[in-house]
Amino acid sequence: MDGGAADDRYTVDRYFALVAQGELSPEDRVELLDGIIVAMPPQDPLHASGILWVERELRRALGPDVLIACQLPFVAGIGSAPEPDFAILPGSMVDYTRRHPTRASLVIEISDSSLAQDRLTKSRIYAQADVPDYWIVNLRERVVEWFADPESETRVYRRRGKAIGKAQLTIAGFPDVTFTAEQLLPPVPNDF
Amino acid sequence: MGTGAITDGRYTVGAYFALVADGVLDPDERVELLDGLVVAKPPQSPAHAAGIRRAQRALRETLGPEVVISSQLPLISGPTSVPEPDLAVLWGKLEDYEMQHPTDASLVVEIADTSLAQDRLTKSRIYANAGIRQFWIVNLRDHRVECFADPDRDARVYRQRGSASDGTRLPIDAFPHAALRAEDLLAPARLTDDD
Repeated sequence: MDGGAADDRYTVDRYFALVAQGELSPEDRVELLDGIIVAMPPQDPLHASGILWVERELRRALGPDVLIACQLPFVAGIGSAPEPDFAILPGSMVDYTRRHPTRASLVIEISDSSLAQDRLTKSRIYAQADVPDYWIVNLRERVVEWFADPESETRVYRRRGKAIGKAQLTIAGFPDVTFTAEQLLPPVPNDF
Repeated sequence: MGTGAITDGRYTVGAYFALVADGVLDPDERVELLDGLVVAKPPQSPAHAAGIRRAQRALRETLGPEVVISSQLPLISGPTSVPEPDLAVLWGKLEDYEMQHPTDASLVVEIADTSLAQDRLTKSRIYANAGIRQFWIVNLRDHRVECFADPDRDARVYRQRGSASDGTRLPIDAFPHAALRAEDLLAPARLTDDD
């Protein structure tokens, strides 16, 4: 039983073929995580407003020409095609008309109900894919959890921490750009 | 990397439960362990919750008061999976599970709206691998029950699969006298016409 478990996982190629075969509908909200097809939950207003907020902050800081992919497939190794909330991509638009990106300088997940999955499952996938910086905007505790210095073989980030308030966050790929933690957290209405 | 142990960062059942003891996972966190991955369980829609209530009532009515029916509780399904199926009909008595989570069920039911692809493509393999005799997906999107039976554990597939809509009888192998129909599990059609 243990031996058989490893072999029927989906590769990225088989996963995308499922749509052509009609097994998966293009409207199905799913991700491929380490060979497993996982449902993506409908977004609640808190998550959606976090997306709007962070998108604006990223665009303001990075300027109009940097590619910011929002909830689009990112091929992270042979068995993973997550759709991160944000991925800052190298290159230009035309680089991705025929293939999904496989590299990113920064990945961000906006996290409320998905917090454990983002910490325990996604962090390993992004570390393995050698994404140099990974942030979880933790809406539940209003902190930004940062992961840096990935080790692809062991699938871990060697450095990690939590940023709150005015603590600064940097991106290896953009040495001139800094964010504060509070800049990435959407304001909470007073009647919350 | 194949040294026999789980070396690619996947969690075993033991390591998964240790995450709670170690404080890495909050006991209230809504997650499942699927093939070694910690996966979030989304907040439930009213339709999903209603589907659980409806199926639970139907199973309780047909199986009687003594059969153990668990709802969204851990079911250890092999060395690297701890799903929390919407409903599981367990063998034995309540007392059998005081000290350990169940590792088998005669029937597992998942209510699927947004989770349909995950239930078909991921959970069906996990339940087949665990030797769960029957697996039903109450497909709210298409108003039918997808039925899987005769698991091939090594291949992680169900050899039999079919689809039942209103009027179809749904036998439960472990309870030959149970009389359940697909419509007992599905919302009345008029409530879903506006889909």
